[in-house]
Amino acid sequence: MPADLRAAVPDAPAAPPGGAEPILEVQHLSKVFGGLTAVNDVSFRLAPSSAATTRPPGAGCCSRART
Amino acid sequence: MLFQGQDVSGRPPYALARRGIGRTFQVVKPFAGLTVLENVVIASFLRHPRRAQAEAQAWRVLETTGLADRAHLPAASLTLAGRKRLEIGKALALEPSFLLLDEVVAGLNPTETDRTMELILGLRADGISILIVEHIMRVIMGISDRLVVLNFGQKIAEGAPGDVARNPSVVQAYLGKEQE
Repeated sequence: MPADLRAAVPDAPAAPPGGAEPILEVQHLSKVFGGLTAVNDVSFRLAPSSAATTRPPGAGCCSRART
Repeated sequence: MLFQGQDVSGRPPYALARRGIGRTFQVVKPFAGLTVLENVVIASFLRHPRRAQAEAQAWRVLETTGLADRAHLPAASLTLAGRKRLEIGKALALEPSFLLLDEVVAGLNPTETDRTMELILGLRADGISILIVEHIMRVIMGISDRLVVLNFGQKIAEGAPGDVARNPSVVQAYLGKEQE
């Protein structure tokens, strides 16, 4: 990934909006399949509500992770 | 990884299901030789050990997911959209408080996608928290409260949908860099 794509994303998980107790808290998650790092040191918190993760097409999608 | 304040890292799927976490798979894997109803009943047994109660719960799930009219068909006979709904139904039959959805609209046409978005919003209105992995922006922007954007495994943005969509890093990742 180009270095300039790594925006000013805080290392610490952001607090859920509204100060709600998170239903899920992920801290420094990494997942490696063979030699492919599919998830690299990702942290976030989810408040009890709908949320989503997304990624650009071709930017490390599941099919590649499963090779 | 904390779920409702408890460390669930490395817990097996059945333990996570019992804790209230349901999930779907991008590549659907129904029990092809069983009917649609039977597929959902299997998941219902987690909360309802008796068959009659499990079946009653499965019928409620099939009504929610719009599959009740196909309950007695073999799961293998469903269209892709139907199998995606069955995948959601199997997860809902676990009666989760938290639902993980992996690209549930991948391969669906616009009408089927809209119906799935309505279903997801309905589940949220029923109080289920949902984490979706998806890269169709129309879907993400239409149903999400909060986004975490990954690019090649690294987080490049996080926040409200409107803010994330204007984030230069996200725009660059999706559309490329503007020529100078």
